[in-house]
Amino acid sequence: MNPSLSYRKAFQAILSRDLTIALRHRDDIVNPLLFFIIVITLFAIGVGAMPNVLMTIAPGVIWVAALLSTLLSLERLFKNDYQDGSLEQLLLSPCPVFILVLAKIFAHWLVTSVPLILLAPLLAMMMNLHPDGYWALFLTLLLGTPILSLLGAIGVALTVALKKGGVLLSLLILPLYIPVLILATAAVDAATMNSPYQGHLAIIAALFFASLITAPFAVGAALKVSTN
Amino acid sequence: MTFESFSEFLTMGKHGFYIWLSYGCTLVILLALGINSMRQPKVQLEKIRQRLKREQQLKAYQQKKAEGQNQQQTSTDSGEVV
Amino acid sequence: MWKWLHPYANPEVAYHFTGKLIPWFNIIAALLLVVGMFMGLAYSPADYQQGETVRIFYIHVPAAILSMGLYFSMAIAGFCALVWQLKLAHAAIAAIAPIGAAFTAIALITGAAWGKPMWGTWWIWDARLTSELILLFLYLGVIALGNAFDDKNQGAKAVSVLALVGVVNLPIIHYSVEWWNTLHQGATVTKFAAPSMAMSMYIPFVICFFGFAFLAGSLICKRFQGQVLARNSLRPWVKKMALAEEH
Repeated sequence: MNPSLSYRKAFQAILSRDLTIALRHRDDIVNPLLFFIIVITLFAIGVGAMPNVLMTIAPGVIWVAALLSTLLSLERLFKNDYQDGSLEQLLLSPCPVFILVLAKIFAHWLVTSVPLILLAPLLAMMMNLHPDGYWALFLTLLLGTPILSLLGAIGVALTVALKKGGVLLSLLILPLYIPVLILATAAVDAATMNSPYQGHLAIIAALFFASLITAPFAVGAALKVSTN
Repeated sequence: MTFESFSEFLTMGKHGFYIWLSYGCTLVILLALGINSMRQPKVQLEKIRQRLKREQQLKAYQQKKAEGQNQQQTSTDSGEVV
Repeated sequence: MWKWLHPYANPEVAYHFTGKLIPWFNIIAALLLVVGMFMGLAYSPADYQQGETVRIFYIHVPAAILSMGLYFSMAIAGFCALVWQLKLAHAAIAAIAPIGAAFTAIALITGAAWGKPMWGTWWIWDARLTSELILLFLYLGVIALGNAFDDKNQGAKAVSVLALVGVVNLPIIHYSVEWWNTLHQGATVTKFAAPSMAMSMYIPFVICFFGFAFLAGSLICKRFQGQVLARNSLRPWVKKMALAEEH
């Protein structure tokens, strides 16, 4: 019998643990979503609710709101575990940090970004997005939000030991989000103009896989620094 | 020399303001950075010196206190004997 | 080579070595900058399209190149700090970051001052200016993260990770911004109409570039000395130096 857990089992154990914790604190899931909706409402009110103006800014506004609400929920990723010491226990376990970190990020994406993706068409309708853009918006969010979670995890891992990490986190992470924002909004724009956007999606997918492979290593290194 | 006179040099065509603005800003930033950087080792040494002084004072104070306690103790001891 | 490099990993030796470098760097930087600026401002010809504004080029471009180059060198120091646990690399990162940020700011300000007569507005979302702005954010993030930690060693390691992540992302950010710019701008206003630089412009540019580079080197050495002192404040040689300066 193998004394240590297999990688798959370790992944599943952490995933189910994080999902259980998240479902017991429903506020943490609901608040970023509310924030997402409120930011978009504010944009519509601030810019003036002219349908054609809204139509042109819709992809950008929805994506910026998604980015900010991801940022808001990111802190939860490691903070509680760091405070109660279970993060150190996880790092001490024989299982590679890569697997553990990936499981935590995946759980985070499931509870924060999936509801956001499901909610996005509704907000796109409120923002008067061109009907051709819906499918592109859905696809870019599906491929892009995991990148946000993966890159954000690096920032959270670096700032988890700090008392006032919140504002610092946004300064560290938001510049790294710029390529995703550019590509995703360009893809939705292209879709509304009925031109092909597969190329944009392909680059976003490439970024997704690149960050999937490299980000967990950086997160692991950062966590080791933070827990000292 | 591309310029005939000094005043022509200052006005630089009609773009003098922008050119001198950028050169001036660069100078100000580099001067501020230079002064700040040149003072760095001195500032750090000053900090270390202050810390050493504080440590010495603390040590002297503790020693004095310990000595004072010892004296008190001996005096009370002797008082008991009497 | 390791045998030759080994003594320089000693903080005391490194402190005195950089101390010896600084005056030389200062002299070279002052000479090159005076000559380069004089040539750039007075001798080089005005551009046939941009007129005299082309003289901003002699600061703008060296500052932009240095801002990128310093970020890369910071990332290399970060790599050394993480892989070989070099304490001196920590000091180097902390020394380079503010200098790099200052050069980025210079590139941005001169870029704006160049843009006003050329494009009619102070700020245009030109690809190069936008990347430079994002680079400034990256630098500020590095500085802020380093300041946020009470424990300097822990902070330095965190900054090393961040610098490496940043340097991996920098090309991606740069190319995506460039592509975004062509998408939204249509025909972009390129700063250099002529594809190749004339010799009369090239020489002052090279002289100015090396002048700024040596200036950056001297400032980095000075800040590095300060960082070395702060990080080795419990060592006897530092204490001795601190007490010796009192008189």
